[in-house]
Amino acid sequence: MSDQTTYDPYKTADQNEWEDMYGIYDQLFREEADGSVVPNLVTEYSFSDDGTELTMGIRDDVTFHNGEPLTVDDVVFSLNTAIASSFTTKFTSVMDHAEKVDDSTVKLVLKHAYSPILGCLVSASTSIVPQAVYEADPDSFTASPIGSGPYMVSEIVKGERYVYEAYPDYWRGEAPIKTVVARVIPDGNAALMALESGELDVMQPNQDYSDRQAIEDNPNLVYYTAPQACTFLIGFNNARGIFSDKRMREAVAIAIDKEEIALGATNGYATPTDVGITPICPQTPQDFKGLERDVERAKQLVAEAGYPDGVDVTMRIISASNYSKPAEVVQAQLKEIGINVSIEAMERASWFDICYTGGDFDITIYANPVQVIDADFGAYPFMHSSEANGGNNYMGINIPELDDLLDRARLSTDEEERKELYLQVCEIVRDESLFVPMYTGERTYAAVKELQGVHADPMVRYYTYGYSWE
Amino acid sequence: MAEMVKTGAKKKVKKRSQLKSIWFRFKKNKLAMFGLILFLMLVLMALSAGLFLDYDTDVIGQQMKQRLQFPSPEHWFGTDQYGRDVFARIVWGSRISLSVGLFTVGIAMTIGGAIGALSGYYGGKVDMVLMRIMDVFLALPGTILAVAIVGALGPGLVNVLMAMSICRIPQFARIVRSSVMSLRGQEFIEAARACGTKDARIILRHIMPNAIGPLVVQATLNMATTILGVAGLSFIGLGIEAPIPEWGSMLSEARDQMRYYPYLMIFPGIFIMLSVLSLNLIGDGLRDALDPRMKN
Repeated sequence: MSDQTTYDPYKTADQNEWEDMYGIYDQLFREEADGSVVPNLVTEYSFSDDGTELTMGIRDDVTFHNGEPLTVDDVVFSLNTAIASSFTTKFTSVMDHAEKVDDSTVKLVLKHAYSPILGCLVSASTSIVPQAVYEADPDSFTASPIGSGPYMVSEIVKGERYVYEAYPDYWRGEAPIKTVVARVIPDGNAALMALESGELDVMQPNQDYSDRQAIEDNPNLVYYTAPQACTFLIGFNNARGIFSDKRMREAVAIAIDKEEIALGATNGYATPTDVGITPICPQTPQDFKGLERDVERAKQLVAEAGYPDGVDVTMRIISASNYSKPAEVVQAQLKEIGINVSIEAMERASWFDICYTGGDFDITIYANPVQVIDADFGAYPFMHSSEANGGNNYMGINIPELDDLLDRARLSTDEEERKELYLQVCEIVRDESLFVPMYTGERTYAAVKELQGVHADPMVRYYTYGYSWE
Repeated sequence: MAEMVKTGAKKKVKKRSQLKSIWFRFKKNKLAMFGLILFLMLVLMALSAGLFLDYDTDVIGQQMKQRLQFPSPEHWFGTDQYGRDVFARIVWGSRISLSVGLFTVGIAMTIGGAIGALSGYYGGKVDMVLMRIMDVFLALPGTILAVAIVGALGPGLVNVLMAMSICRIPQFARIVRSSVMSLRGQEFIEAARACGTKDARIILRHIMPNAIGPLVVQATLNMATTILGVAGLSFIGLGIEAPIPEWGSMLSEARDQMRYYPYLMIFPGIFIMLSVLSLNLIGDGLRDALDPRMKN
């Protein structure tokens, strides 16, 4: 794992930060191993006829780590806090507000009917916190959170380890594994050696798949895979700088060879893709074709954009091999058309600060993740202008026509119509070269074979509660 | 007048014979000669790299279809994960490593030497201030200081060069200072001063030539540690940026693949070892050759 900068569920947009929050907090719904969404804190639920109101009964046998019971007031407070936060918009932008109906029922009012809403309530971003504690001191949730989940934070050594103890009064029964130690091992090879030597029991393998063969060849380890709910892409700052010029973006789009990038960056384990919404979503267009590769034309475009003698650009990326490897291949390919890339690798948290929310970059490599398998999640947060300037639209995309398509696709309940709309969205992404999708691979997880209940998750949601020893 | 010319000529003759005798003693040291030959071969490799290699195509050009090929007649040292020829990269990398070593030591020797000479010659407050500043630098381990400097300035060839140079300055300053201090009181310096020679001339003309021995030894040994240090910085991602084929960054890139493609790590490692070894052997040999007690 990487360092946890905060446990406040409403103050981060980075899905890596959410991983451990699934152990600390409960959400209204949860995801089962097979990917289905089932009620968690909710006993029963129903939608109003127009689909804009979700009424949920809340369990009365749940307590927080401080011993206080979890009440409807806590749920209402938590949802409204999440709705007010700018970090959680992926999940909460359709929610209007939550209100208390009676002591065991809460009503969530939506701005409009929204079919993936239950998936939103699975997310760590809509975790339930105790109102009294959070109101008294929200900052305490940065390092000493109180939730109602199966684990409590017991020790934090920044840069080294995070220790969690099982909460004995957890409403689903105390977790089978009493102590979980999450270790920070920045180097993937060191992590692999720790797993092989038995120092670690489970780990997230290198996301560039460089250790895949070694784990698969080891009879004591199991390598788990699931489709990846994201697509690696070359992202541009559409709003300002050198790549706000469409010719420059297009030059990049038609200069790169995705087959080679996938090979060099992932040992060939990932599949090249041209489609702007990650392929795992059912509404994503199939067999979508991107722009034809044409290096000569790309050179010409760079010259037309005003750089006949080439141009120097800085690519800011997260310092991890799954970003730096494709960056190195892209760097070599762009050199051919006169774009001299220098790579600036930064710590994950700084990248999120500076590039993702700060918008201070020209070109980057990132993988837009979806947390609910629906094209709305793969498109709206990253491309709608309402999400620009600090939201998830870090690329600063602002095209009214695209906004309109995304709004209509979000509101529509007709799956065929939505597919058609998302096809148009992908066409705009391609024709305007808003960003360049490169490849998508598999989410992976590795564990010693005695550890049961482990599976890889497309959305990197790991419920340690389900783990047990053989 | 005639007398002075005569002594001048005599001095020259003596000087040459001293160099000769050093070379004579150095030559007798077989290990040192082995180091010298090894080092000259590396220098030759670095100088000739441009003759048969094209940087853009052979060194950083990616040939994805030929990735991860084991050593063969076509690719002597195999190819890396982007299909680049490892041999070509190592040959080109010798330019980076050797020139970084040379420049770093050159800069550190000049600045450190100047500081050491000033503080040794003048003593007193000048010495006090300059040496306390040097102590501050010496208080931190070199590698940590270099990491801190590169961390603040950002990675890159020039910054690494600066960081490494700054770390090495105090060592040179100390060595020169102690030689200068022992020479300062000697009679020929007093004589020069009595003649009204300016301080700068005394330091450069009379003191430095006599203090150069330990400096040269230190420079040679330091070049070895610098090459290793730069490789180390690149290995942890703070050194020379991709795709420049620095040996340390080649090692770092190879880590991912080392289980199944160990040659990616072995070859750059061997070359780092050879260059460091050769410089250390030369340095040891020079130290022995320059040692007046070994004279006979």
